Amino acid sequence: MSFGIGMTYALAAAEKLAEDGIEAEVIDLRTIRPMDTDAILESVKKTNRCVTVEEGWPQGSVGNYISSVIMQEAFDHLDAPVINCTGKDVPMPYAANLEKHALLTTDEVVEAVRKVTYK
Amino acid sequence: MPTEILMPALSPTMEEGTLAKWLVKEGDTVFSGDLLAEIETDKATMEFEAVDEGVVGKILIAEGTEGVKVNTPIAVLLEDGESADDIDASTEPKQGDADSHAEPATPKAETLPAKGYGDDAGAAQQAKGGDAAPASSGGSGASGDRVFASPLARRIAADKGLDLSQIQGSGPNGRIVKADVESAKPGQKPAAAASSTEKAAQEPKAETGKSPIAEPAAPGAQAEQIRKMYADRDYEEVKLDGMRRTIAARLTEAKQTIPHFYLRRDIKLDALLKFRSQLNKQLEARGVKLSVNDFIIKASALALQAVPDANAVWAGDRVLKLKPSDVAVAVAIEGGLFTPVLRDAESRSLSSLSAQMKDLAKRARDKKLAPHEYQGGSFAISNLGMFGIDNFDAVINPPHGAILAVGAGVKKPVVNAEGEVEVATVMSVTLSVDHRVIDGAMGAELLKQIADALENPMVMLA
Repeated sequence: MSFGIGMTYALAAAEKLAEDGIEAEVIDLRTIRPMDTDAILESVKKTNRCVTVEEGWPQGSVGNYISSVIMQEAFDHLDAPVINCTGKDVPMPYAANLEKHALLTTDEVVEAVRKVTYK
Repeated sequence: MPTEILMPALSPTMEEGTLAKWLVKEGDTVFSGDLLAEIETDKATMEFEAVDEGVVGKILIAEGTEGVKVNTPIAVLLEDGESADDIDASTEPKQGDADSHAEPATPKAETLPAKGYGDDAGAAQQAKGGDAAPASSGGSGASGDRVFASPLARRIAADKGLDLSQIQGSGPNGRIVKADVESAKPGQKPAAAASSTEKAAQEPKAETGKSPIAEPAAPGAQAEQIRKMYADRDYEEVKLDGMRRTIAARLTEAKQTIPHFYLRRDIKLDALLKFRSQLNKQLEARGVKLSVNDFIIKASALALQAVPDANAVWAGDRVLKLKPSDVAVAVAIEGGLFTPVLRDAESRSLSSLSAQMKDLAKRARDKKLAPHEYQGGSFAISNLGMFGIDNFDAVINPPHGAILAVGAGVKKPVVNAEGEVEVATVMSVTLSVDHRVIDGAMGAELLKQIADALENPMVMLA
């Protein structure tokens, strides 16, 4: 599940995973509020797992809310914990090299998907 | 604070039992000593009493649940002024302690590992000394009894009637995930090989089809094969109860591990029968009626004292020589058999042995024996004479050193000391002996002592 700039990581990760034979369903939420929770739940019921992707801090992220919706509405469909991929929990640095480290990377998303698919 | 009632250990060796029946329901007030439930151990059904008083707040394990491990919470008892709402508050932090915040356990989930087909394998391992038992817990091995499984895996397992404790989890911490339950078949043993191949497999579905076949020794697979042979025949499937499982495990163990040898002998019964009828006539007023079996018990007990080295049991790496003669007697009951033990039989009178035997046999038939009444003993007697069996060889009931198989007393022509043929009542007996404990000559001496006592019954009164 992603939205906005997070979609670039999500789609890039999906491409990479497809090369390894892991087929990911990528959902662009388009709006955060109202949130298309039905689409989220439908997807979870189909795949039994979820990774949220967004830039921003981990605490109080949109992914946190998505996780809680899934846990409450589709608990019995989960085969793995939901993983929220976000930026690092640090103030955004000005130095370009440090900024790169503070941001989310495609590899982190790929790793998260491998984790929830147990592969 | 609400108190959890735990599955009791009703005998020293009990590791799990069946919650046969609840005698209370939620909301009942109980006092110390009240009967709460009937619990079936491997052999007997026992009543379970309350220790504390209170109100039964919640029953966690439904009646009829098999294989409930000792110390599993089976119900929650509330004290005065507490309501059922307090239960969650008190039981949940406890589950948190067990490092399972990822998966709060519902009572339903707790009972899941208890149901199952794989239990007989576990029982057999326990009977073999328990060394292999921890290995049988499969995916839960990493963290005690708790089975880690994803919510989806739990749901699929419940739908398919799978026992999660028998499934090897392939996820982190041995977590059972969807792929594991989908590949598992009911009654399958922990399939370690299957889960590791799945991890590497790109298409788990194609791979999982093979895994059950890779386990030909699994009881489920065996039953499947046998069922296939009788697919077109009319039959009824009988589920194994605790007793049948115990009989199967122990007697298989006995026949496979005990080096049996057999000593046979004919015993002339005429003197004993005459003596018995005299005694019974005189004892009639006291309401005592001695059976031939009572004399055999007494004779065996005295023989064990006369040959003290034969009064012994095999204890794995040593032999335990017993001082008293504790004689077990096989009692056939519906659906199996019991071997209640008559302790100190050598020093007891015939009438008291007879009375105790009647009592034990009756309670064995009602399955009301306490474990200490059927455990122990060094010697057993199995009597099939009343069914017209002339002679047979009994299987030693481990850890006993020997068992006496008693046939029917029948009139036969025998040659007496003067070389003349006469008619005598002869009973044929076979002593099955554990050669690890008793050697041939010693076994023969033991059997001679039994025969001498039965042929000269007066000595039994001395």
